[in-house]
Amino acid sequence: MKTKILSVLMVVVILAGYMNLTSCSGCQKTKQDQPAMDNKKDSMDQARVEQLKKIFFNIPSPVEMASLIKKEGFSYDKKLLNKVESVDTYMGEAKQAVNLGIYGADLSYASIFDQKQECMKYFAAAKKLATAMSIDGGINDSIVAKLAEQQENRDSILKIVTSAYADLNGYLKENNRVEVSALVISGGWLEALYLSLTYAEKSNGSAIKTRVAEQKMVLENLLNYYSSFADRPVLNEMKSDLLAIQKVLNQVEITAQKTTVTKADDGVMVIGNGGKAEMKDDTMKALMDVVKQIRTKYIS
Amino acid sequence: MKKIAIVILALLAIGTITQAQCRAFTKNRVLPNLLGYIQNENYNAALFMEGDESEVLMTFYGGKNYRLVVMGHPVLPDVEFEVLDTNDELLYSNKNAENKTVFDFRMANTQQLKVRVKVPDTGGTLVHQGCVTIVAGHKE
Repeated sequence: MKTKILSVLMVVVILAGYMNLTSCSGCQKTKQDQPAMDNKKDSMDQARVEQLKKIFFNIPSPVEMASLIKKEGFSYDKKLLNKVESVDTYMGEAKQAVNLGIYGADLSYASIFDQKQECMKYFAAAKKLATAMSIDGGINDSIVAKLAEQQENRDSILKIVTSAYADLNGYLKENNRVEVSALVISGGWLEALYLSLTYAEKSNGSAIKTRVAEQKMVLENLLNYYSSFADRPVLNEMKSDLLAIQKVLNQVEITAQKTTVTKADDGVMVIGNGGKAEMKDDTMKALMDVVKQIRTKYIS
Repeated sequence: MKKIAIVILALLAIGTITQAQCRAFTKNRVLPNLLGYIQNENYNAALFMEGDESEVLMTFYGGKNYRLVVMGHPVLPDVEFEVLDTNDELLYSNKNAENKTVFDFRMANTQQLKVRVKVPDTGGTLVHQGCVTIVAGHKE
């Protein structure tokens, strides 16, 4: 029995050595090995480029939208958020992933407004979903404990929330669950858009309305990302929902000039192209209708 | 049959551990550079070989200060990165800034920018492979 276990372990060690050569975080290969691979080089390079496209992706975090809502002088409204009590009703990986993103955006919003108890509730709901989806990274008991310790410090809570979601995103990407990561991010974006739209409707010509209009650019990034996945059924529903939102956002007019780079008095580089996003009131109403309808479908 | 299952399970575990090293690299070596900034929730780290290049399109909001950190594992040569607008107009290159890994800037208005990352090929006998991470943080 011992010999059998030893032989199995030896195979593991040999193969592990091979895997380390191909996938360790910092290592070397000799170029002597390369000629044999030259025939496949082009296709392998293309495969690597495609793989990197699925990993390298970035849109602004929901916390950036939430901080603008607070900056504009609006107050916290608990009723706008997805109910934590619904967490147990979400079945299926796609719905769970989208709601994990939605709870993340609600968490960011609650953190920005110093709602510590709410943060704890939303973090617990997010953790429940993450556990149901077998995601061990990012949101776990140690983070919940950290959050409990930081009850009085808003910046620390924000830091914990954003780094937990970034880590969760990293965990999913590193465990070949990139599609789930895309759904979590889409859920967060959808919720942040819903919250911003609600406040934009209350205000008249505020910066929030402009920020909502600017989501035309963010959505373009997001849909570009979706196009890097060749026909993944789990993404189809969200992709068609995002396209429905894009149809409305396409009515937003964005004007821009040549990009300039200048230096501010404090020495920081300032980048700008004089770009302006303008959205008519009826477009905003149509956007709210479609966003509300899609959000309701996912949270109910 | 049981043996094969054990081998497969062990290999899967090893695969996860090696991939997870990029996450550890990001946490331990890259994120401390975002001190004072709120980290963006997207995760952008992958294994690069010498000569590899990648690009990410990002939207930055007007009126905000951003910090971009692009770092490679020390086994790699200094990672080059450029910031360009959507017309491919070069706005910043760390090659003109002593290969700095951190770039601070402010956006006058909301705009999409491209971040292009490249691990130079040193042409040596050894081909190095290591993690490359791009993170962004913002502050008001």
